[in-house]
Amino acid sequence: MRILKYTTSLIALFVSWGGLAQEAKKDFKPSEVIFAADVIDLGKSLFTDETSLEFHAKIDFHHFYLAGEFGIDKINPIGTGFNYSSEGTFFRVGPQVNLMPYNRHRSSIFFGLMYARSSFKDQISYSQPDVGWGDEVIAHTNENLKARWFEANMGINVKVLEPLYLGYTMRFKFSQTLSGNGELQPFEIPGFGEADKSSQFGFNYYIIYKLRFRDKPIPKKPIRKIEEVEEKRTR
Amino acid sequence: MREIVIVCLGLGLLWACGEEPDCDLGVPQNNIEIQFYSSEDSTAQFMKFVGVTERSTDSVFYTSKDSLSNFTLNLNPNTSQLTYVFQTATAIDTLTISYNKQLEWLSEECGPTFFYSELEVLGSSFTYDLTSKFIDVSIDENIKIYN
Repeated sequence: MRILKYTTSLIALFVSWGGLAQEAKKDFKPSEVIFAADVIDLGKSLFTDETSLEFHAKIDFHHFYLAGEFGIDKINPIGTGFNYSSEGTFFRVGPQVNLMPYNRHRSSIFFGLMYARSSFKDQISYSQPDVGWGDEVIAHTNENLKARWFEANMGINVKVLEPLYLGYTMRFKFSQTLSGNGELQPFEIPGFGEADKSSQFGFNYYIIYKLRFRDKPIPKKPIRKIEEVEEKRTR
Repeated sequence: MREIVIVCLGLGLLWACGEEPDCDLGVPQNNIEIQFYSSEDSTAQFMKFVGVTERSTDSVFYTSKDSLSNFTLNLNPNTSQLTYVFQTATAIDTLTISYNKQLEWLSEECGPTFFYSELEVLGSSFTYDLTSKFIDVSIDENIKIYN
């Protein structure tokens, strides 16, 4: 009796996979472009002396996205005995996969891998405390700094009011390499964060605009098909 | 609704990550330790110099008031090479060293400070032994000098 039950289940599973294979006509033709801006960075730029802007765009291919990000960073930390400034740009590019393609609101949870690069320059005026050589102001400049790193990211986009969405992305940035620095170690790499770390976590909070230029139906969740088959079988 | 709650939780995470690091970090070592030993029995030897100075500047580190076996000599953030001059009533000896220096950040609030590394002895009129290339508070002795 039990063997019969398992056999029936296997047949049901096979039939449902066959159904899935038939249903899964992959539509790789893009249907939407997604634009996003980091609201925290926008706030920083509006209400502090620092300029920090980060924009994000991606286009869909079936359940996948090709994502690109661009940002500008300009910081000027001033403290006792030092006046530092750094400015530069960065970009990230890479694929993402939508882990929730069947959501009826077109909200999504995604996972992606990205390659990132940054070009920037920095300078410092530093008052060396007297350690036997007298007080002195030391100036250092790095004119042509370049960094690259990789990222694994995961995020969520939730519909607020069509076509506006809110979402965040959590990033694990790793394998950072920096070139072009002299005696001055840069404080921060635009888009990466603290320059003395080879890996770190990041977080972005986005406001998102989805520009849909083709009506692409939301695919039905395959698991429902399996459930239907199971229901039919039990009846 | 569930998804909006998840997005709001992200805001909490953002605040948690926003804390600045503690500013109370150890300032790195900016000097080297030189220890004098007797060339006969290798015991610590107290030395008294008319002056311990640096050749290219007018900095004076020790005078004849100091009778020590261990001398702490400052490193200069403006140069990567220094020649210390040890003058007695009858002789002048020198010790030329080189090192790497990097202006690194303690934190955004604390600012940067010089970190020194890779100590080398380029030459000396003393008989010497470089015991540690590291320049760190945990190092008691960088160079042994036998007199």
